[in-house]
Amino acid sequence: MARYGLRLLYGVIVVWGAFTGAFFLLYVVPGDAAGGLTAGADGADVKQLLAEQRELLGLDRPVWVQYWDALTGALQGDFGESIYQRRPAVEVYFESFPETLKLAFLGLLLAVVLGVTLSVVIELTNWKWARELLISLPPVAVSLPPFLVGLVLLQVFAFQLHWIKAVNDPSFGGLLIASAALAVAGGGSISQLLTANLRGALTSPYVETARNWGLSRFDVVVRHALKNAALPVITSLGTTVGVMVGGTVLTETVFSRLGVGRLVVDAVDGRDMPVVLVAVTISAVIFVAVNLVVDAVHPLLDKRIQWDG
Amino acid sequence: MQPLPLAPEPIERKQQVVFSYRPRHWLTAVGATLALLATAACSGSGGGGQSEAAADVAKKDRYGGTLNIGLSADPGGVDAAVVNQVWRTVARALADSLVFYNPKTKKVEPWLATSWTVSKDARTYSFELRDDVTFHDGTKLTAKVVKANLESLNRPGIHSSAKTIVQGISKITTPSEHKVTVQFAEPNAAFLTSLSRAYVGIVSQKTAELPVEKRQKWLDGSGPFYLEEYTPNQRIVLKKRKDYDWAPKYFEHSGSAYLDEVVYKIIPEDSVRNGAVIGDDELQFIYWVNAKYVSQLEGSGMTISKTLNPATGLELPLNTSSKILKDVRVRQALQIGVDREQFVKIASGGVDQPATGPLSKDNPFYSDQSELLKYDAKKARSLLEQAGWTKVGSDGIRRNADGERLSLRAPRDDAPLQVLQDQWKKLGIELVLDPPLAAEANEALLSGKYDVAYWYASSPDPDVLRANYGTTDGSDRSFVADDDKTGKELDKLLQEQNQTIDKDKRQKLVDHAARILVEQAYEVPVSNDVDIWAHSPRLHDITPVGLDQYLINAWLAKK
Amino acid sequence: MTTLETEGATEAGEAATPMSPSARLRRRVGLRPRPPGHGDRRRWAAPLRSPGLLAAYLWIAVILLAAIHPGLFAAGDPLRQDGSQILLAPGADHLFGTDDFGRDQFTRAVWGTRLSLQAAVVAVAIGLVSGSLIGLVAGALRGRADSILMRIIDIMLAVPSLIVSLAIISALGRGTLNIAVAIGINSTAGFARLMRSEVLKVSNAKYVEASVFAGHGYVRRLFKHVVPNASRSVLAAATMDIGTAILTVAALSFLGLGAPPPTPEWGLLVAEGRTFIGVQWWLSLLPGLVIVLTVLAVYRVGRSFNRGRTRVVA
Repeated sequence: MARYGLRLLYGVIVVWGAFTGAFFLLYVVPGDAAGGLTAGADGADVKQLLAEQRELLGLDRPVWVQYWDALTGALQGDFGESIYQRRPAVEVYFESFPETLKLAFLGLLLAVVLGVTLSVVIELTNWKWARELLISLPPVAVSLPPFLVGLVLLQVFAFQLHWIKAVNDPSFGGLLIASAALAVAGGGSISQLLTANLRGALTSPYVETARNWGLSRFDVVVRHALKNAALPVITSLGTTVGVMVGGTVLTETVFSRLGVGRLVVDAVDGRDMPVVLVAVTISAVIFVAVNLVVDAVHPLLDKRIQWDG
Repeated sequence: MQPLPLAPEPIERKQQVVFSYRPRHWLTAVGATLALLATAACSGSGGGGQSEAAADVAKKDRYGGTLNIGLSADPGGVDAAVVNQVWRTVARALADSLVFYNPKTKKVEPWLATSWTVSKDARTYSFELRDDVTFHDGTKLTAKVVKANLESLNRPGIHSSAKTIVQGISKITTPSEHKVTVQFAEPNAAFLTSLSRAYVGIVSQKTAELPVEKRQKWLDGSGPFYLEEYTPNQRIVLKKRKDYDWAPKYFEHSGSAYLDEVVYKIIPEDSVRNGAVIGDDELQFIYWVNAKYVSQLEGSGMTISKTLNPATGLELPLNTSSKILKDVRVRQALQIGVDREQFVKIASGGVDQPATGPLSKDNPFYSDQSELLKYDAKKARSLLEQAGWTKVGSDGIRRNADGERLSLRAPRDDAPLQVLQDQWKKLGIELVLDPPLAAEANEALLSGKYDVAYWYASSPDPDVLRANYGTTDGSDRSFVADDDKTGKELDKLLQEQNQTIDKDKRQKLVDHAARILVEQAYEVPVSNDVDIWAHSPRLHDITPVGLDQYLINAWLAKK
Repeated sequence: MTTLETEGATEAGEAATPMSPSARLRRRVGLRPRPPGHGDRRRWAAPLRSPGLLAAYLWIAVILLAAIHPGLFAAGDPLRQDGSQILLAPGADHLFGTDDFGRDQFTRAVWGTRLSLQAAVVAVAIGLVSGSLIGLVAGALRGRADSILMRIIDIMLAVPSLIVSLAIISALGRGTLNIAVAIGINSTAGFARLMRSEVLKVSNAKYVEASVFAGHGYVRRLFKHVVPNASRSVLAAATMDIGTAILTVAALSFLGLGAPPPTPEWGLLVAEGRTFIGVQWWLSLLPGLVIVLTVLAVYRVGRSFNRGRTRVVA
């Protein structure tokens, strides 16, 4: 139990570190919210506007006071108001969060389905040329700029085929196309990893045994090798989720969807500290939680490791 | 939330610096010939350009429908008094102004005020108000409400230009229920024109009294539409007010607006906005369209209309205190080293107009300085040599006797600046494009670290020059040095013009100031920009006034 | 969380290490710790047997040549604007068409090669060097130092990389090198974890244990056996990450943080051309194709390095 206590403590340290790091990173970067707020003031006395806003926003206080306020506030769940939207930053964040979650989750699902199918097909293909071709698909998928994939999908499905609306289609179809844009790269990397692992697994004594039993190639690949090869893929999903959440900003922009990605980019650009801190804290918590879960679940899943000794 | 909409419009251009969604904007159209531009398109043609074709649809059949408008970024709020970016769109539909600036006659006409008087010294303005105007919340327009409005704009937290307009007011009195008098400490000839802008849209007493941060999200005005919903980064929904009946005469419109509903959708990607207005009727209107998309949009049957910006356009204040630009010869070389014809061709597909002075032709006090703005590369080179930039390095950039490179910095990196960069490079001048991010833009620009600056102030009044270049009372965009006698003279002229009501006298002052600005190259006027709108053929009669969009006459043909 | 992983990094603990999928691919498939100096000959013979691999090597050679001497492929000036040549379709005069300034897009793509590769290599080098050092120190020292270093790495992973990139670029100012620095810092954590787990794994390997029995000292053991073996997978990961870095530069350009104009750079070309995708699709898709081919070639070559190991199955 003590071991879990220590892990929890580590988790808390990581979240605190992320919070503090983000605060000071944003603080030392030139510009502040007062600058963002007054940007574009048309012909006005900008200097005075800046000073006034700085005072109103409390940005003229010493940095340690600002940090202490932010930290103690955050500990009580109060991150303050978004400077641009003038409502609680937590509210702003959680309005977009489900949208991003939906997008990332469906994207991940698609990525897994695409990736696994492709890998199995590759493993089952005998003809050398077809196999070479298939095997080059995952790297192609990974090497496509994600925003370009989104724009092309949009051109095809919205402007040519008219299956979905171009602007923030709320239907499932719209969500599906948007997450497909996200899934291309994810599917590619899952397939790359899985293909490599499948090969490894096919040489293992475990599969060798299965093959000696006279099972068909399909059975060997799908029933036995896949099971073992999938393990590292599953444990890497945590990272893939992270990569996807990072990728959502591009997808959200292209598909004009509300989402955390866009929110965070705007918040960093506008130095909207409360929103940035909420975003950082939440993602740090997710990171810690996912790793804790993976860590706890892993020994249960990985029978082979014990089996191997 | 974005503080800084990328939505293409002059002000936002600065932002864009910032955000640098570079190729997006304001570049303008390939389509039309210059002649066409000069006549019909250029002067904010009242009533909308495309009305003839649809004139046979009876007015009573124009009612109904939802107009969808694409915005490139969230404006960050709905009230122009509080937020810088919405003056031309949402805010204009929600709140009316006391007076209306007629783009055809270039005169100020009645709107919420039926009549007014201006004292000879341009210090006292009194307005007689309409007595039949109500706000969306049902309250009536009275002198007290106007007083509350003007006062509410001059308080901490207001960070738009609204504040500049009301600053200097010494006293507001309300002699009767529908009469209001505004007194200034100093003469202010620009006040009436400024009042016509959406910044000073009149709102209900309750809205005026709201804390600034509330006004950002909510507004109760007397406009033809009211705010139904505002979801940041997604959409802004306006609904029509059935009891509206006080549109300016200019629109020849009685009663409520035709449209039932207006939805502004925030769509960051250019290609998506373009696609959405072309296909499937998802949008019926986009504005400040990049000229490079015009052929594509026209080819798909969209209607394109163009409006000349009444203020300036691309004008670059030069930092006259900077190490290199202290020398007037280098500044003059920059001035005549711009091939403005070629510039508009590349930067805007020939839609924008080459600048002929510090003010646009659409400004009532336009001053023609085109003689001083002719492209002359030879003379520019010789000016540079006289200034000591004689050697040309292997990189094509000039150097002086000390071996310093002739390198200047500018705070934007969008298409126009890239074109200038290319043109000046031919003279041996390096222009480094180094845009600051939004949040640091103001400070970076104020610090004087840029040689070539960019600010934007749009107003159909010549006082915009004082606001930009005045030193005693103005923003001193060209960093006039203390020992600069010409700069002092310029400032005097700029201050004087805003204290002069007589039109001819004022014009003379403006002419003189404009000449100094150009000749001594305190600024480089490059082009007057033309705002391109693209709409679906179903949409008619959306009316430009200056760069504002008036939706009162807009109507949608049935599908 | 791997942070919490116990010392002797089992396969399991190590598998949980978040790192780029490409990185794990290599590790899994290929570069398992092995005694050095074996199998190199076969690697260099490989290209001759596989046309795909040969093509990949050729493409990389072409790209490198373009980076060193762009004039060889496109003699024109990548910055030359021409008001009469705006947005032309691809043709004999303009292989990739012209952009909205009338500049030749092919010339820009060719001249952009150097900057793109530079950015990618610098980014990966920063991540590789700093990450490997941290990982090596952590893996070698273990104990408290390991614990502290890994917490720092966790914190780096916990802050969304996008925020870090945006902040770094706004602090340093825009510029391809600054972008590379931002990307490099972001990939540090991944390399650190990879290096550390490799070091732990290699330290436990049989031949290293044998070296312990042989009485070699700790530092000697580290540099003689652990570092060379661990670096192999880390270096392979770095090769693969070059492709990822090129893409990240493109994504940052999309967000408006690309190379400052007028300098051409691949990612910037794709990002800027995208606004014309409805009609002038070639403006972004053709430079995009160059990126895809390059990343693909890099991956193909990287895969061939792993072949020696998996040939039995293949």
